Amino acid sequence: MSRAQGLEIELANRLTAALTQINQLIAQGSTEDRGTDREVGLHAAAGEIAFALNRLVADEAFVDDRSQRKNAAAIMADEQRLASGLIEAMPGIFYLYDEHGRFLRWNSNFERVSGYSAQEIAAMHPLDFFAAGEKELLEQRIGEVFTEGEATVEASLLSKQGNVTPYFFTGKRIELDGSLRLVGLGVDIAERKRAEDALKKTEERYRSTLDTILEGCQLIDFDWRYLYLNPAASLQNRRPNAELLGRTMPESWPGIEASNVFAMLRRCMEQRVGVNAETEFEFADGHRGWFDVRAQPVPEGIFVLSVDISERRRAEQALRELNESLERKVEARTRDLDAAKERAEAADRVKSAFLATMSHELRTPLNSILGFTGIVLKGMAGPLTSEQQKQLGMVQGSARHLLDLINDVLDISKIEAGQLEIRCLPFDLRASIARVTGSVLPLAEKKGLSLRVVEPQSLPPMSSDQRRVEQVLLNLLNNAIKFTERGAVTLTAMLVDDFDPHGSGQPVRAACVRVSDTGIGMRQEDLSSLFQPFRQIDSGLQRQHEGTGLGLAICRRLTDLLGGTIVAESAPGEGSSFTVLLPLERRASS
Amino acid sequence: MSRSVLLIEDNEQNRYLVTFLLERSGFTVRAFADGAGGIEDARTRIPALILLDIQLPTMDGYAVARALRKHDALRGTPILAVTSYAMPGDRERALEAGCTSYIEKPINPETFVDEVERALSGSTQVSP
Repeated sequence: MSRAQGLEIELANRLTAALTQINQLIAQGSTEDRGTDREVGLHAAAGEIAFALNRLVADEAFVDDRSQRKNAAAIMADEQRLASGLIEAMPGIFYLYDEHGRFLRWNSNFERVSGYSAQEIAAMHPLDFFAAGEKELLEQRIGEVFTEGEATVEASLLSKQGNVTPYFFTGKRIELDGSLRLVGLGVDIAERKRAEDALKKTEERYRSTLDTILEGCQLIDFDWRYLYLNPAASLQNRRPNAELLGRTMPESWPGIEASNVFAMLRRCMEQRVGVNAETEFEFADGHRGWFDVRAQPVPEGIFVLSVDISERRRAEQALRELNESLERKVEARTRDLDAAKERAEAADRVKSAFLATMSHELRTPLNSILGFTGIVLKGMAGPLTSEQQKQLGMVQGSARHLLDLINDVLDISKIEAGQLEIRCLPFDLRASIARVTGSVLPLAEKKGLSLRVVEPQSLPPMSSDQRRVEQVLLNLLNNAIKFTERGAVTLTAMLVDDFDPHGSGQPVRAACVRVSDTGIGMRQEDLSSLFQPFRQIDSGLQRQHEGTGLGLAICRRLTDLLGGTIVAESAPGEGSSFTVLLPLERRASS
Repeated sequence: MSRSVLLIEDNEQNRYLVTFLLERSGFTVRAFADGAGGIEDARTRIPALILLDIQLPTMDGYAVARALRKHDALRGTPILAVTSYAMPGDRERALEAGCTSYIEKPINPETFVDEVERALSGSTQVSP
């Protein structure tokens, strides 16, 4: 193989490799982040082409050698075709011009992209393809190629039609025919530019977002160096960001390594996990703040997002303190109320004891009044005139009434003090009814009222407090007779199977006793307060009727204690009826 | 059977009333206004029946009943408490202290003597 042949093969290989590389670079064109690699590759390809062209010129001698050979002309023509083919096949633009800017060679891509014809290009200067603002830079770079040997530039190619396309141009100095030339390639980087601009815009958007959000944002690298801080971070850090940027956290905050915040950030940095905590930080000047800190591992290191929650914590603390103070007040108030309740209960006990004592003290003189009246009325102390008999009878009646009043007061005070005893024994309700109706019969007859009893042939035995049951019935009968001027008082007794006043779901058998009269009756609004103590005393209307007004209150409480109920039904002028329901077997008092 | 009755009652009118009713029915009555005098008299004279007021000054009826029961000679003597049931538990306390039965105040002149007679004859029947 001749030297010339070897050179041809080498040049051809180099040019082919360069072309392949250019093709690949153009093909991957739109992958934006590879832009730099692409340009480096393009630069290398341009170098290869320049080298090949240089060698072709430098080896004129061989050409001369070859020209001596029979097929030298043919070989030359082949090489020319190869060079032309390569130049035309290039996807970018190709240009070759001399030191004066005269174009010597270009490819058709150049014509197509620039919009100028070959004749026009031949008459133009390289700077004619650029807008006025870029000419200076281009001129400088072109000069560099001729002085330094090579240069690159990014500039916008201005077409004949006025279109502007960003290009990356290379330039390599070569020597041809003893003169210096510039050979170079240009590739369209519009796509890359657009990608770069888009990326820049995105970055700007992120940055402006981070700059304006209220959360503190800090980007910290693996050496704990601050890469970015937003204005909110500056407020939270209580120092300008310029003081921190480029410095490390430990430098900026002496002793921070011992803090909770740093321990948390270190976990994020070293274990590459997101962390989040509310933490308190004490600044060098003693100021303390609470922060909600979130940190995320990012390629640069960690990204820290923080919110100053000092106000919220203070509000929470204030709220907690307020709550505690309220609780303390409630406790104190409860204690006061408990004390007041105890005082009231103590006063109640004193009242009950007082009433019991008073009742006893009142009954002692009554004992002798009733005793001696009885003796004298019986004639035990000697005979009486009918007038004396009559007047002493009045004394006896008044004394008995006084005794009833005292007994009522004593009963109600005992009941209200919870001191009334209930003694349950079996008894016959019919016998009790007979006894109480018997005792009020003279009173009814005296007023000309008929006293009727309606009851079944027999009633099962009751187990309750007989004395109290009779007291209730006696009270109701006395009332009925007292408030009835004509007509009848009727006592109706019957057995009820499903007595369940409290809805326990366990009904029991009960005795139902109703006392109804044909008396004056009551208004609806009076019925509700009927069983309150001292009602009659309150309502002046009924004061004409003697009594304490305690009778029905006692009946209500006694029926409660016996596990029963009492209800009143009445209408003015239509009489009244009182219905008592008492369980046959008295259960726990309610 | 002896018809001697010991009455311990602090109220003068009531003492007179009871004494009047009982003496009229043939009883011999010795009346005392306080427990100490009554106990002393009971120990020496051993009455057939004792009527004991519960609300007494210094030493109340329960204490008097317990003191009376301490004497062997008075173990079987009926003691009738005379009480107004002013406070809960009065009856039970009277029976626990050693009273045989009780009569409710104010006393009824028409039935009082009968009740005393019943107690004296050993009947357990008492008014409710």
